[in-house]
Amino acid sequence: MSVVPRAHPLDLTAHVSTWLESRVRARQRLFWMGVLLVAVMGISVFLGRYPQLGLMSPTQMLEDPLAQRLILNLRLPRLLAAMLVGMSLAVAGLVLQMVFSNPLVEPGFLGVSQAAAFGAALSIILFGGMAWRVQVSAILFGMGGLALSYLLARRVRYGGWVLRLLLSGIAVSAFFAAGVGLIKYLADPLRQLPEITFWLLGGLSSVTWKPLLSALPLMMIGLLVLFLMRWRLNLLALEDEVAFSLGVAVHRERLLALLAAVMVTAASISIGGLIGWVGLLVPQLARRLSGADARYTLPTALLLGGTFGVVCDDLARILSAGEIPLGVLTSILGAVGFLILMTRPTIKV
Amino acid sequence: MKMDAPLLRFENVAFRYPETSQDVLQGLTLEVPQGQVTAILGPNGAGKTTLLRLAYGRYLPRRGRVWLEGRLLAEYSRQEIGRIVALVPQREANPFAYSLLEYVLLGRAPYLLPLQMPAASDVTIAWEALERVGLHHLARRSVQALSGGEYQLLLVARALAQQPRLLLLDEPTSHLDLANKKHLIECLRSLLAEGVTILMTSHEPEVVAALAQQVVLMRDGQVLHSGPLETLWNAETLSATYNVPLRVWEFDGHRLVTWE
Repeated sequence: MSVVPRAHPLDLTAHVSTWLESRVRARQRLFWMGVLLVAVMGISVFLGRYPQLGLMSPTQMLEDPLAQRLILNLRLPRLLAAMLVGMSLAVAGLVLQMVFSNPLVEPGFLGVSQAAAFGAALSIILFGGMAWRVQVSAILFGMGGLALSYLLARRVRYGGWVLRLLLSGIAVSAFFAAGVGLIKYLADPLRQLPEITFWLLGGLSSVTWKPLLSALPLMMIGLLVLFLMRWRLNLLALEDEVAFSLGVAVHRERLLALLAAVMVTAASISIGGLIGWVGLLVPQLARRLSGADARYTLPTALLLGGTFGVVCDDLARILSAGEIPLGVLTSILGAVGFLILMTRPTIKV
Repeated sequence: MKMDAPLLRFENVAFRYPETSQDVLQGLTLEVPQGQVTAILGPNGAGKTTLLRLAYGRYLPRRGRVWLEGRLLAEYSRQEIGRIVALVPQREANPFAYSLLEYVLLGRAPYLLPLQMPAASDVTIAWEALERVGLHHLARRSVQALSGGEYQLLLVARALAQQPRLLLLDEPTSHLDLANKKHLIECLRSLLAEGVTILMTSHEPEVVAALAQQVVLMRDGQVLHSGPLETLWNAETLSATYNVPLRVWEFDGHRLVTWE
């Protein structure tokens, strides 16, 4: 029998180089998604209903002072808000899916959304809807919703840690949803109720620089933390036992990731109201494009989420003379997109 | 470190899970010698898996001490333990479609700083680990496309990527068909030849007899017997452990256990 020499070292380098190539491809893909986002943003600046439906000509933007003010004070902050809200909800969705090791979770879990909605509605009936108060109240209640879910989960005597968090999150959501219902019932039907309803449907029409800048730090810090943790998120998706055996401080690191995700979610809700489905759909799509490794999925979700947010908000602005609520649009597009993804032959959640 | 010093030592260890009132391990003393395969046998609920959990510091004993390489396990950081001890769990669920290589790369975590990403050298190590268990030809495939047996081998590969000195295996062959079983046994033997110490639980006497030098027989959270396979592998001792009459056969170099 002849001994076949193993092409071991050669084989290895070949493999590492194909790995490096796949990394280059992943980066190229991210680059083009970034280009897409910038392009969509660029077009959206000129897109709207002034002076007429469609694209504004660059000459008009240079000559018409009203157009300049419109773009600078209204469209630009709104576009940035749409991008950041999309990014935040998409990344938060991905992070929650990984931490709970469940691809069907979205940022509304853990009571965050409903609690934030309750906070906003409460502030509207108590203080008459001053923007910054609604915002602060939404963030505080959103974080409070998480804290409540967390504390309750420690007392639940059923299932593992993840299941406990989910269960108490469901209870907390129901509790705050009931609270929102009560406030709507009590609210002045002429002044307060429309405002609450509009806020619950989600929309960015009232966003100017001020609310955007107040939510910006929370979003930036949260997104940065999650971006830096992106490979580590893979470890948090493992079962407790295994993650522990790999030297991961499972509970502490999961809590850190959750806090960051909830922070960006609450900040998004505080400027845009309740906007559903982005956090479920975009991470699914990102996994289809970039695989399961969060090292690449997270940046993908970030860029796609931003693009999705801007496109949805563009549609909300131009589809009808009155605004279509953004939350309604993301839900329609999200649900349709989700169904398309799920009925495609390659099941790869 | 001396070669004959035990790699892992349990000294009068008692343990109960948080919020329970019954000890799962009751004053257990045990030595895992370096460079050998030690197999833990015993009926369901004897505390075998719990013992493994204490061996990588998942839980600390309520009473008694666990020593790893001559140092108290409680004094190690988690990352340090992760570089010495690797766990292959009985089963593991993950809903995401990682490629095999990405999944095995997770085994490099104990060597990386909190925000550090695996580098080309880590990929080399992960690839070698995959090659060892014979799954390298599937490196780019999704873990969700694997059969139960291949998945078990994947978990072994991830543990190997940790470059451990002590490998903990919780019923490693329970999902494997005969071919994969043989393959895994050969893979573990080659690790042994490199000086890796193995501590495993098993319900399969033929696997234990084929692989282990040391046997620990457990029952009700206590060690009934422990010692070299040769001295304990007889009908009397095994029957007493499982509380059912058993017979031991020797056939063509294989040792088999059957019911009476």
